[in-house]
Amino acid sequence: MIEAKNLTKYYGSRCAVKELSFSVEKGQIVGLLGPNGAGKSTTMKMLTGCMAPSHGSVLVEGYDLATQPIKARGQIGYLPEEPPLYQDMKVGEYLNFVAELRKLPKATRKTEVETASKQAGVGEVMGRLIRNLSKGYRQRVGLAAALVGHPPFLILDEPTVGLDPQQMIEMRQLIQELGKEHTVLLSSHILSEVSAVCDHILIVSGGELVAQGTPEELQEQMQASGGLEIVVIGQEEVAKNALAALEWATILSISAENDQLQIVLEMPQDTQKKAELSATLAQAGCPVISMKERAASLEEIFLQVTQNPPQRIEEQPEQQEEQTKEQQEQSQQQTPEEEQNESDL
Amino acid sequence: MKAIYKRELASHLRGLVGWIAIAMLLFVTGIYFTAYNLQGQIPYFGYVLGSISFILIFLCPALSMRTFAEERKQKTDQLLLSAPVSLTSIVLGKYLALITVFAIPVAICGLYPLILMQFGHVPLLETYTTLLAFFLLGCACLSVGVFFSTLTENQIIAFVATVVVLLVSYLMNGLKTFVTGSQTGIVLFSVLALAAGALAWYLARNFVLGAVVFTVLELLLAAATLVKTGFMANALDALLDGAAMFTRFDSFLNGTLDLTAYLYLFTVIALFQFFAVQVLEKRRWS
Repeated sequence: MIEAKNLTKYYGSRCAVKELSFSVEKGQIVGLLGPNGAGKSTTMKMLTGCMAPSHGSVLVEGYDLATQPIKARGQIGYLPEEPPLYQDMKVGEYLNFVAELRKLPKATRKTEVETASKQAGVGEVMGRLIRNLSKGYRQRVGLAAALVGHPPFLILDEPTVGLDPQQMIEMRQLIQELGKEHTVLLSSHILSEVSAVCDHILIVSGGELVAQGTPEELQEQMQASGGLEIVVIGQEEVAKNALAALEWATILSISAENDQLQIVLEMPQDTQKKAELSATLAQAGCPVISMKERAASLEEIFLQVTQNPPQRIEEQPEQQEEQTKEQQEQSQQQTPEEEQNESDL
Repeated sequence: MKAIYKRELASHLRGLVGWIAIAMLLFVTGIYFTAYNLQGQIPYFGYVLGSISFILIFLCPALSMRTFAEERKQKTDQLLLSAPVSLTSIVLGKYLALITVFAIPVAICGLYPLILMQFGHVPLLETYTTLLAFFLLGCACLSVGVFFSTLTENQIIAFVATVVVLLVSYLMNGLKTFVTGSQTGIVLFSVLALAAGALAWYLARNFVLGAVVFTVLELLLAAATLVKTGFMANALDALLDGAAMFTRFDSFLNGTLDLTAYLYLFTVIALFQFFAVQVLEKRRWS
């Protein structure tokens, strides 16, 4: 388990990472997600001991990185943003060097290097100079170096950056494969990557942790604000009047297309209420032809939590309540424009 | 440490710079050996070493410049920093590899007195103690070079800075004649005190601490000057002497075995290695 407590890093007077606390449980694939400059790389450098935090501490399997650095660092395989490769070495030589650097016993060194190179898929370039390798292979060699000696933790800083789409897919598969035997912490600014690969997501922005949880949890957190999207056939006025009878439902937006109406409602997400809604509309002569929960996609969550300053997120539930009240007071006499604005929020 | 030593040594011997440096040293040694020992018929090889010591000013920085500068530029330092090894062993591993490369031409130089033995009596003991001093002088220059290499990620800057420092050290005997007397001493030491104060201010980010350090040092200086006349001039002299690395080597040329010179060179080596580790440690924290 890697445990980061109140990690803070100042570059001069600029604060790159601020009071970041999280833990990476054994056996997880954890994604550190954030826009560029959010402090992802700095955090990873602090976790691997390349950089000391201004204050705060890191525990790796119970070893404090500040007081028992050698033991703590021995637990971690690190692939920095740019793979740290010596251009003038051959791949095999390089991996051997890393094995020796990581103090593997001489007897197991060769097999460890072979296993790591096989896992990372660099078996066929072992005799080639690193200088002559393509970007994709360099990334793999870097990964092989991180895997040498089978460290329980892998910290991968933007492992798919600079790869072509095919290589990206391969790298993701590889990481998922590795997740079975290692605990992996990877950083990325690509959301789809993290949601596809990771069990747990930490979203950082401006050096602070703004949200965390499994992809499903994050979606759930946002679902309350998502509302229900229904499509009915009928007149707008009729549908509005029918819905006005249901006091727990609030219309967020209505748009008409041909003879279909698309309505987004703010209402409790339970089956009973949905059935009631459906029945009410049907009685009014507006049959419901589709109904779906509009869950905020991870993309929306990401944008929401990283674009707003962290304080606003904490305030959000209140804001929403206020909105709901306002809407209730104003009842359904809103202009379409206002409705559009509300739904954008 | 062994892994780093082996990789570094292999890297030096794979590249061009290592071999060019070795060839340069042997070439210049060969010229002076021919002129002094063969044509001038002097049996003492030490004079050759005395005459070629200036070449270390350029040769050692050329060898040492890439030690850490290149690692930082290629970002390979992250591999070393995240590996389960201490900073001291990283610095020492690299430094020992440099010394090994430098030892190759010095070992070949060790053959010259044996050649001379074919033609008559050669003061072997004097020659080899001088050769050892020459080797240590080179190691001290390399240590200074390693230190400057940790400061920058540009090899050229590391090279130039090391050359300038070694050149000042080489010319210190001449420069000393310009800076003597109590007044210069007071100015120079005040500047040093100011630098110490500024360093304390920078490191601790505390202006008051820096000011206190500066004031205390100045008061100590004033007290020493008042209590003991001539203190300033003597201290200045000692300081400048301490910076003259190459002068220490010259004493061997008279045939004296100067143990304090060995000790002095070891101190220089240890001091700059220590500084190099401190710079790297500082970088981890900044």
